[in-house]
Amino acid sequence: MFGFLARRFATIPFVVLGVVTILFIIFKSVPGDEATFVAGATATQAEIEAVRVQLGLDRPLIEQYLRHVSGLAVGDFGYSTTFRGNPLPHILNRLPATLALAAAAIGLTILIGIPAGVVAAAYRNRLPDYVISLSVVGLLAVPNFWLGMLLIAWLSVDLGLLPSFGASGPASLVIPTLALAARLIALVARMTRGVVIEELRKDYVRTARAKGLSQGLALRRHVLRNVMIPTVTVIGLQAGYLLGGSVVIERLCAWPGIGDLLLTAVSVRDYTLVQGIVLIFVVSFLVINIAVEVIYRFVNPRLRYA
Amino acid sequence: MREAAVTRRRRRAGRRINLFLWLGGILLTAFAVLAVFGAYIAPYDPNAQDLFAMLEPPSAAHLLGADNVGRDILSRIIVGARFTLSIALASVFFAGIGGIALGAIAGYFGGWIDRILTGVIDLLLTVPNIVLAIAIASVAGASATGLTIAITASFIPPLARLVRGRVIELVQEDFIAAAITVGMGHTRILLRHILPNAATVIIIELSLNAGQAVLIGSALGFLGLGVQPPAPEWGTMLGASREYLTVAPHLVIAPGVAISLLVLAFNAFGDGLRDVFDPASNS
Amino acid sequence: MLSTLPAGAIRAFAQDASGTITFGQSTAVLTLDPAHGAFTGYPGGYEAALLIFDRLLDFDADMAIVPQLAESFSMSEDLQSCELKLRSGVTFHDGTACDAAAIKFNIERMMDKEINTTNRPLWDPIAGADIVDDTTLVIRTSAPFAQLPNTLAHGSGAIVSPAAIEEFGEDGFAQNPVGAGPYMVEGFNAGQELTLTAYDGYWGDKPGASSIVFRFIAEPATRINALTTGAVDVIDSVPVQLVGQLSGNGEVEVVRKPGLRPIGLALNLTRPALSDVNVRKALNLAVPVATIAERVFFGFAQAPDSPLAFDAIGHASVGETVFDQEAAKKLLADAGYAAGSDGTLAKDGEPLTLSLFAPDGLFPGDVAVAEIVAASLTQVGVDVQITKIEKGAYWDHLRQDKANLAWDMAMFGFNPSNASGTYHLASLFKSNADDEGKPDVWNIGRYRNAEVDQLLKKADSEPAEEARLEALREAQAIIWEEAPYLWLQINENVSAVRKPVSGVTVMPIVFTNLRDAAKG
Repeated sequence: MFGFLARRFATIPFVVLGVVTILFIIFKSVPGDEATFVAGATATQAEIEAVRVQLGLDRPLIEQYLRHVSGLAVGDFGYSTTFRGNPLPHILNRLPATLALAAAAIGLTILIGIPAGVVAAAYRNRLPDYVISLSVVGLLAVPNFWLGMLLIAWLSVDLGLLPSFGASGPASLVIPTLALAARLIALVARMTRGVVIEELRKDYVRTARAKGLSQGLALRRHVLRNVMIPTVTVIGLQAGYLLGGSVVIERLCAWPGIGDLLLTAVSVRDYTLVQGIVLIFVVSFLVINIAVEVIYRFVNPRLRYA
Repeated sequence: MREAAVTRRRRRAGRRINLFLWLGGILLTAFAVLAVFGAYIAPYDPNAQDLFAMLEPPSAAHLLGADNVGRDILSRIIVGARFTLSIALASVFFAGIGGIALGAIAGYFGGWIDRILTGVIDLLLTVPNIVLAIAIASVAGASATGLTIAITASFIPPLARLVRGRVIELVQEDFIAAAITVGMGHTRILLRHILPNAATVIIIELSLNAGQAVLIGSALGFLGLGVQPPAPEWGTMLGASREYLTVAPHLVIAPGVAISLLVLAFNAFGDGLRDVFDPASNS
Repeated sequence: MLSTLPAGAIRAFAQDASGTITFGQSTAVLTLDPAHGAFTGYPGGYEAALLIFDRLLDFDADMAIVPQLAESFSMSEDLQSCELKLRSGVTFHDGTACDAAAIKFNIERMMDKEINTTNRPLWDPIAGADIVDDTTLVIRTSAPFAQLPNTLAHGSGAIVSPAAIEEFGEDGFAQNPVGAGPYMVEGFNAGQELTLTAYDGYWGDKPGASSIVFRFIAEPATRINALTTGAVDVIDSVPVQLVGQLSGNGEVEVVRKPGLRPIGLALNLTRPALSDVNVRKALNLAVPVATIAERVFFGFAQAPDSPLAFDAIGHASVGETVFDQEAAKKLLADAGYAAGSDGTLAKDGEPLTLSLFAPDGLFPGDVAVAEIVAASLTQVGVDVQITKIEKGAYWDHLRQDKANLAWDMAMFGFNPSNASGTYHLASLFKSNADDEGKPDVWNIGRYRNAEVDQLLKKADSEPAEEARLEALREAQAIIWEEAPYLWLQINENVSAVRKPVSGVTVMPIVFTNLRDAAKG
C-alpha cells in the first residue's frame, strides 16, 4: 500500500508541471499588458515600465517561465495584484471551506444516494422505483446553481429556516451542499439501483432466499458491500464536477472557498491568482483520485494484487 | 453508472428505449423550432422595454411576467433558445472534430504521437471542466464565440480519450490489419474503415455532451462570462435575475425550467440512442 | 493568530463580548495601506481605514472639513502652504508617538510616487512638510492648491505608524496595519474578515463598540438575509429593489444619502459623429433619465442638474434633464442624418452606429441601464451595440491611447473622494496634455475647451472663496451645455442598520462610516 501511495504521489509534480506549462502558454497569449494591469488605471507610462522591470516582464518568455516554475517549487506563486504578493497563503486559507463543501457533498451523496438506489431496486417497477428514477432523470437535468437559487428562495427566504450565505456555522453549509450534491446523488442512486438488481439476480442471493432469508436480510448480507464500489466509482469520475461545481455554488451562496476566489480573480484579471487557484484545483483533483483508488483497493480486495 | 444500467435496459428493451428517444426527440424538435422561428413565434420583441411593466408578475399581457427592465420574459425565453442551442451545438460540433481528430490520430498511429497526445489529454483532464472553461472564458472574453471556445476546449480531452480507446480496439480487428496489408493509405483507412465503426460511440457521447454543454454554458452565463447584453441567453437571464430572487421569483423560474428541459431532452435522446444502437457499450 | 482559527470560533468568541458590531460589506477588505494602491478593495478598504487610522483633517456628514489629528489649520494667503496645529499626546496602536515627525514621515511617504501610486492628483501638488515645533507642522505646495485640506481629509491621508512600516516593511504593512484611530486590528483574513477592537489609548471619545467585525458578503440578497436574521448588524450597498422588504421591518433602519458620483456615458469626441454638439444634445434628449431613476432605482436616484453631484463642494444647478425624443430626432435631422432602409440614421452613407461599453457590476444597475439607453437610442434611429466588460479590465479599456479607443460611449462615474467639485471637473474635463496618448486623468473622451481650463485654474487658485465658487459654477454651465457626456442618474448610497446599533452614517462618498457607531 505504501509503495503504491508513494508511486502515485510521486506523479503529482510531473502532472503539475505539465498543467503549469499549459496555463503559462494560455495566459501569456492573453491580449493586453500585464504590467498595465498591475500598475493600475491611472499609472503613467514610466510607472508601467517600472512595474514591468520589477516583475521581470521585460525578460524573455523562457526566462519568465523558468523563474515561474522555480518559484512554484518553493511555494512562490508569483505576484498577485489582489494580494500584492504571493497569493498562496490566501488560497490555502480558503481551501478548507471548499474541501468542507466537497466532503459534505460526498457525505450527503452516500447518505441519500445509496439508500435511494437500494429502495428503487427493492421496489423495482413499483411506485417508489418510479418516483426515484424520475427524480434521478430530473436532477441530472437541473443546473446546480438554479437548484441553489430555488433552495435559497424556499428554505431561507420563504421559510426562514436557513442562512443563505457565508460560513456562519453548520447550518449555512446545507443549501450549498444540497445544490452541489444533487447530481452526485442522482448518479449514485442510478448506479446503485443497477448493481443491486444485478446482485439480487445472482445465484447466491436466490439460494439465500430459497433457504428462507427474507429479501431484506439477503440484501443486507450480500449486496450492500458491493454497492460501495459504484459509489466510489461515481465520486472518482465526478471529482472534476465536484470541484468545478463548487465554483458556481460558492459564488451563489457566498461560501468563502477557493472557487469564489477564482471568480474574483477572473473579474479583476489577476491572472497570477487564477493560475494559482487552478493549480490547487488540479492538486485536489489528483489527491481525490488517489484516495478513490485507495478506497477501491480496500473495498475490492481482488484489485489489490492486480 | 451507465455500465450497471445496461443489463436492466437490455432486458426491458422495446418500450422504455423508444420512450426515451421519442421524448428527447420531440423536445429537441420543439426547441429547434423555437431556435429557428422564435422571432416569429414570440408575442413581443424580446428586447422591447416597457419600464412601467418592470418586474411585473405573470399576467394576461405577459404570460411569464416582465424582467428587470420591463421586457417580456416569454418572448426572451423563446428567442433565447437560439443562443443556448447554437452555443451548445457549436461547441459539441467543434469538440467533436477536435476530439475525433486527436483521439483517432493518437489511437491509430500509437507510438510517440500517442504518448504525447495522451499526455496532454491526461493533463487537461486533471483540470475540472468548468474551471478550465472559466479560465478560458476569462481570456476569450464575454461573447458567444468566447463561450463556445471555452466549452469546446473543456470537452475535447474526454472525447479524445474515448475515441482513442475505440480506435485502438478497432485497429486490432482483422479487417483493419487486412487493409494495412494491402497497402491502403492511413487517411483512407481512418476515414473509410475506422471512424464509421467508431461512429456510434461518438454520436452517443456527443449527444450526452450536448446536455453538459447547455449546463456549462448556462453556468458561465450565470457568472457573467456569457453573451453580450441584451441577448436573451438563459443562463445570463438567471444571472441578471439573481438580485431579484426575493422580490420577483418569477424571473428565476422560467429560464431555469427552460435550461432543465433542454438538458433533459439531450440526456433522454442520448440515453435512448445508446439503448437502441449500442446496448452493450461501455462494458 | 486569530486568522488561523475556524471562522465559527472567531464568531463565537466575538459574540460573547458585548458591543460587537458586525458589518456585512459588499466589497472585501484586501489591503490596508494608504499607499501602494490605497485601501483595496474599494470602498471596503476605505471603510475599514476610517476606523483604524486617524487623519489630520476629517469630513463631517455634510462633507465640511473638520479637525481630527490637527486641532486647527490655516491656509496661507497665497494658497501655497498650510499650517497645522497638532494634537499632543496621541499614540499609535503600537504605542509609538504620533507626533510632528511621524506626520512629516507620512506626508513624505505619500509624496513618493514609487510608494504611493494612486490618488496622485491629490498628492502631486505637495512639495514638502516642515516641522516648526513638536505640535506645529507646515505643509508646502509647489503651486496654489486650495484643495490641500481636502487631500488631508481624504482617505489616503490616513496617518500610519512609521515604526510599523519599519517593522513590516513597505510590502508587509498592508496586511499588518497600525494607525492612531479608535479601533486597532485584532485579526485580518484579507478578502474575508477583519476584526477590530477598541483602542484603549485613543485620544478622543471612547469608541462606541468593544469590537467591530468587517465581513465580506458579495451577494446582495444574502447580505439582506444576514441583516434580517441578525447575523450582521450593518450592511452596505442595499440593492434598491430590496429596500421595500427592509422598510417594513421594525428592527431595521434604512440609511440613505445621495452619492457624489454622477453616472454618465463618456462620449468619444474623436469620433466625427460625436464631435457634433447637436448629436450629443440629441443623445441626451433621447434617454428617459428621470424614468430610469424612478423605475430602475425605485426613486433611490435622481436626474442630474450639473456635471457635479448635488453634494459636491461647489455644485451649482446649471440645467435640467429633458426627455424629448421628438426634439432629439429633429436635432439629428438638422445635423444631416436621415433614416436608411433599415431605419437606422445615416449621414453621407455612414450609419449612426455607436458602440457602448459598460462594466458588469461596477456601477449600480450598470448592465440594465446600458440596455435601457441602447433601447432608447434605437427609438430615435441610433444603432447601439453594447459591449459588457468584466470589472477588472474595464478601466483599462477606458484609459487608452486615442488610436486604441474601441468605444464611442463608455459608462463612467467619477467619485471625487475629497468631495471637491474642482477636483472632479479637472479630473474629467481639463484638456489632456496630449490627446493622442493616454488621458492625463479621466478625460477619456478628449474634451478640450480652453475657457474651461482657465476657469478650473481660477477655481483652484483664487484667494477668495466666492471667486473660486463662481469660476466653478461657470465651468459647470459650459460643460453641461456642451454635453461631452450623456448624463445619466445620480444614485443614492443605501445602507441598513439593525437595532440596537446606532450612529452609523452613510457619507456622500459611498462610505458607510462606523466610526461613531455604538451597540446597545
